[in-house]
Amino acid sequence: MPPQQALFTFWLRLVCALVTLLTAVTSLARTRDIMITYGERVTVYTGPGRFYRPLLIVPSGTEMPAATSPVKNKHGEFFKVLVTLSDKRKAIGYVPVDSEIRKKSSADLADDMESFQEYPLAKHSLQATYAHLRTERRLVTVGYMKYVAPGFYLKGFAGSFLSPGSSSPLIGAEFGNDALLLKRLSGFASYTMGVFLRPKKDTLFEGSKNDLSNFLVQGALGLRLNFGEVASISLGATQVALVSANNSLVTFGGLATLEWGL
Amino acid sequence: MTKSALLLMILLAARPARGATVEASTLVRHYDDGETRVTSPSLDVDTVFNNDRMKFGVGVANDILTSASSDVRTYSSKGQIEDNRLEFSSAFETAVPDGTMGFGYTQSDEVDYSSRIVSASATREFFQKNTVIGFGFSNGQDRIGDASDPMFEEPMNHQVYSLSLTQVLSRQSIVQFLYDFRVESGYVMSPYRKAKVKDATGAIQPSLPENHPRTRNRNALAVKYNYFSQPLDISFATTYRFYFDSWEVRSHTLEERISKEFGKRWSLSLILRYYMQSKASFFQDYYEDGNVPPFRTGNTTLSTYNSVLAGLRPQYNISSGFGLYMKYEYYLQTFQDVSDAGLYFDANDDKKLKTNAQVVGLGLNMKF
Repeated sequence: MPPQQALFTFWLRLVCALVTLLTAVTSLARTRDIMITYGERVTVYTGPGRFYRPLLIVPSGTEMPAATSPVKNKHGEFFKVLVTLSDKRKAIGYVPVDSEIRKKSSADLADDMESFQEYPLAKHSLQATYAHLRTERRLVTVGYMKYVAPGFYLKGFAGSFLSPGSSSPLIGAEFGNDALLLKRLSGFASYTMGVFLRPKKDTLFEGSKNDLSNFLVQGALGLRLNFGEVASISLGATQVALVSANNSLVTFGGLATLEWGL
Repeated sequence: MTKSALLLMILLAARPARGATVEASTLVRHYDDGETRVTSPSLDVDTVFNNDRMKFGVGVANDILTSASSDVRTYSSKGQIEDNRLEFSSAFETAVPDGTMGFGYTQSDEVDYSSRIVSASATREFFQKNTVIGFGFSNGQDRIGDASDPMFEEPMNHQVYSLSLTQVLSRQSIVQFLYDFRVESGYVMSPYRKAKVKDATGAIQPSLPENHPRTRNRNALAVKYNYFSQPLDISFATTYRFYFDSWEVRSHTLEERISKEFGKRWSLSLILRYYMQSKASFFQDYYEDGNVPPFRTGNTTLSTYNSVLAGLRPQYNISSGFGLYMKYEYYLQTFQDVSDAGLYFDANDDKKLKTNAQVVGLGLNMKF
């Protein structure tokens, strides 16, 4: 290589190295906008859209680092913010630009937002449930669930209670708490009430009636694995009490659910 | 869970990690109604850690009973019984966004009765914590035995479902609504109790083992109102509870608890409670021979009765981390349709059953 070309190559490499180093240094302390809420209750969503599950509701005066440019999509415009869920846990969330929030200042922040993952979760979903209970009983339901507040959902369902040799249709409602534990994994506890639609006599248990006095109460807890806004599956334990007039049967077993985001 | 494992958990809970606080409470309680005496020591240890986000607690309680009650004198060959019950419990609770979730386990054992209960609960806060919804459930598996028959064992399974709504009304007052639904299924009776039988002439006939329905659905609705009076510096806690079940037992409970602090060291609580109950559909004091219904009972708590309780609880704070408290309660129970049979085949010694009891307790609270 001629000496002039070698010298040029050396300086070119040196400049590239310096530019790379400079970029690396400045990326350690990114400049972010600091947003502040001025509304009493501002909802932060898990994804860039109001149809995503609420992540957090923050009070007035809450400061949050945000990406300098809002995210734009067919659902609107959203600030991408970093929220604190607890002392050690932070998460990416999205706030609609028309919420009661404004820019307070800009600052160099140690937390790099790019190092936090986001887990957009569906607010509305269809859920199929299967409960495998003792004494050869099963409960199968399909329902519509909606997260009305961060980690809190309501569900309406219809299904069938299967006893040996028979099945009894029922409808009901459920509410539950779902708390993110680690990344995609959440823990849940739920409370269910259902009414049987005139089951045949003795089908729920020996001595059960065939009128509208038959109902079910159920409690469940377990773990849920979320696959973003698409789906989630859960496994847990459940207890069920079947009541018919003045008689009842208690049982318990395992529970599995499959949710599909709408 | 083995006893040694639970005792180890108590010791571990009592060793606070950095940033954790530990609270321990011990109480020795003694009940005496002249016929039955129960001494109950207990110890509870709770530790709060992880920046007050998590709480773990363990407890142990022991009931040492000696009884020569009406039923025991009438039916027991010795005229007196002794029993010893040991209970272990543990509970874990963690804060989650806008609420809590918790789990617990309790086991209780005595010679002729064992119980295992697992439970779960959750709360959810709304409107800046002014409204709290709570729900919980538990599942219990009991085994009932007969001390005189080693081959006798019957299961009784029970589940409880609870709902609550707490609402802050003002800086001085809170109201709470509660509903508990308990379902019992299996051997819901005692192998020792007997149903008393008379013939049409009033002559005493041989007693029969009691026979209860195999299920019992129990409901309890309660309203609690707590109010702090700033001018008087007194807090009032008022509770009304209505109970009804599938055996047609109905009851009403009204309780008032008044507490006041005297300086930084002394405090005093006064408790007043009135209870009234109507009997189960199949309860009779004496059943008529030849016409005994399929369900019969010797359980006096299924009868019509009312009771009054009055209690005092003074507390003295030795320091910021130590408090000593005492407890004194007087309890009077009056039965409308139950007789103390005395000698079973002697109808002349029957008298109206009445119970009055005193409960004293001494406890210590520690925080470190």
